[in-house]
Amino acid sequence: MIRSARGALLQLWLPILLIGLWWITSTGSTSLYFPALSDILDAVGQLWLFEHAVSDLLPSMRNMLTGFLLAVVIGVIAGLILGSLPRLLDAVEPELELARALPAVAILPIAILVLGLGDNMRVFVITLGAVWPVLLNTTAAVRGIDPTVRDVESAFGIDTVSRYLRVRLPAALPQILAGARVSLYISIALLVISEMQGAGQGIGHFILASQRNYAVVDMWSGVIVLGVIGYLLQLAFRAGEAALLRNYPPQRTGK
Amino acid sequence: MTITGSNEMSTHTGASVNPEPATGTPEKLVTIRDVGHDYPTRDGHRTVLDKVSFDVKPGEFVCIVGPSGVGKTTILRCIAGLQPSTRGEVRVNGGVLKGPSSDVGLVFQDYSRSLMPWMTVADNVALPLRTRLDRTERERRVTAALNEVGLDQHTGSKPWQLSGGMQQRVAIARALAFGAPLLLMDEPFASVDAQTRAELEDLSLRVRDDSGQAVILITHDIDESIYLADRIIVLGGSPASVIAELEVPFGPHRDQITTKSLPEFGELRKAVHTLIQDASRSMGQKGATK
Repeated sequence: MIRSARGALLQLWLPILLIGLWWITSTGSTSLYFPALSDILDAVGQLWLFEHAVSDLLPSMRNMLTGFLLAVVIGVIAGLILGSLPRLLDAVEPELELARALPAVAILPIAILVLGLGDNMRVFVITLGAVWPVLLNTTAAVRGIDPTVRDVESAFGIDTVSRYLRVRLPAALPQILAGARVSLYISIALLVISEMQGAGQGIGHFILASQRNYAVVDMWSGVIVLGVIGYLLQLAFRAGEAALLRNYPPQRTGK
Repeated sequence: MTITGSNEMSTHTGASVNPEPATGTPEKLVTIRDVGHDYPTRDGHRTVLDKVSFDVKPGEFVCIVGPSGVGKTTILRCIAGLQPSTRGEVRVNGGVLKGPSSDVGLVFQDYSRSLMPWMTVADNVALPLRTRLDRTERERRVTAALNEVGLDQHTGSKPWQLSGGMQQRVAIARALAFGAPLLLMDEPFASVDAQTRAELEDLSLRVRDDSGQAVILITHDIDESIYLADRIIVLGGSPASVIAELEVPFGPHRDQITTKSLPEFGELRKAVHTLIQDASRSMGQKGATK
C-alpha cells in the first residue's frame, strides 16, 4: 500500500510540478495566445463535460479506433502470411518499403478526392498510416520464429490453421503488440490531421475551428482533452498488453 | 507438406502402440537403405552421409553414437522426414518416407525452444492431436501421456514454470501422445544435470516398455548409449556410414547402479570408445589433409 503510493508519487511529482508551474505563470495572463490555465480548465469542464464529448469526441474516437483496429487486423493477417512465405516477401518487399516510406498525410488529398470528406476517408487514412508498424513487426516476428518451432510444426503434422493461429500468432504476439503501440500513436495523429480537412465535427475539427474563430481558450481545451485521451488510451493499451502476455515467460513481457 | 504413413492415428488407443505394418516384413519397423545426404556449399556440395544402412525392429531401443560432427543429427532428420535424404530410402512401417510422418514422433534436444511457452503443459501435449482426434479421445491420451511421465500434477503449468528435466518430460509426453510406433530423440538429455539425466534415461526405458514404441536416440554419451540401447549403431568416416553395430545383451530391465557395474558394460564401453576414437582420429586426419 505504502509502496504503491510511493511508486505513484515517483511517477507523478514531475507532471504535478509542471502543471503547478503552468498554473502559476499563466495566472492573470493577458496574452491572447497563452490564456490562464484556470480559464482553459474551466473551458474543458464546460465544453467537454459533456456537450462536445458527444458531438466531437465520440465520433473522433469511433473513427480512430475503427482505423486502428482495421490496421491491426490487416497488419497481423498480412504479416503472418508474408512472414511465413519468404518468396512472397521477397517479391513484395520493394513495394512495401515504398508504400511505407510514403507518409499517409500525403495520401490525404487523394483520399479526399476519391472517398470524399466523410468518415470513410478518415478511417481509410488512419488505417493506411497505422498498418505499417503492425505489418512490419508481425512479418519480422514470424520470419524470426525459431527453426525448432518450424520443425515441431512439420514433424507433428500440425494443420495449417493451428500453425497460424496456435503457433505463429502467439509466437509473434509480443512483437505484434510492440508494433500496435506505435500504430496507436500514429492513429491519433492521423485522426487529428484528417479532421482538420473539411470535417464538420471531431476533436481535430474543433481545435482548428476554435483557432480560426480566435476562441483560443477553447482551442487549448481541445488540445488538453486530446492529450488526456492519448494518455488514457496508452494506459488502456498497456493493460490490454499485460493481459494478453500474462502466459508468457516474464522476460518477454518486459519488452 | 505430405503426411505419409500406413497407420491411421485415430485407430490407436491411448499412448500404447501396436504397430501393424501394412506392407513389408513385420519384424522390421524401420529400414534405412543406402541413405546419403549432401549439404550445399559455396562450391558444389559436401557429402555428410553415404550409404547409411540399418534396421530397427518394433519396440527396439537403438542408440546412434559417433564422433561429433559426423552427421548424427542429419541422419535423424532424414528419418524424421524433416530433411529428405539426397540418396537412398527410409522406410517406416512399410511406407517409403517422403516427409514428416504420423509414424514418427520426435523429441528435440532443446526443450526450451521446442515447447510453446504460452501454452499449458496439457495444451503443448495436445497440440499435434488437435485435428486428428475428438476431444474426449484427445484428453484421454494427453492425460495418459502426462501420467506416464509423472507430470499429472502440472497439466495447467506453463513450461517455463517447470525445471529443465520436467520440460523435457513434457516434450517426451507430447511425442508419446502422438502415438507413433517410432520415437526419435536427438540428444534429449544433453542440457539437464546428471541426476535428472539418469531419471530421464530410466523414464525413457519405462516408456518404451509400456508403449512398445521403438526408439532411436542420438547421444554423444557412450555410457548413456550402452545403458539405454538394445543395439548401438556407430557412425564414422567422412562421409559417414555405419562402421559398427553392437548388440547390448542386458534385456529390457536395467538399473543405473547394477547394470553399469556389469563387466560386459565395461567391455562395451571400451569397444564403443575405441571405435569412436578411431573414427574421430581418421576424420581429423582427413580434415587436416584437406
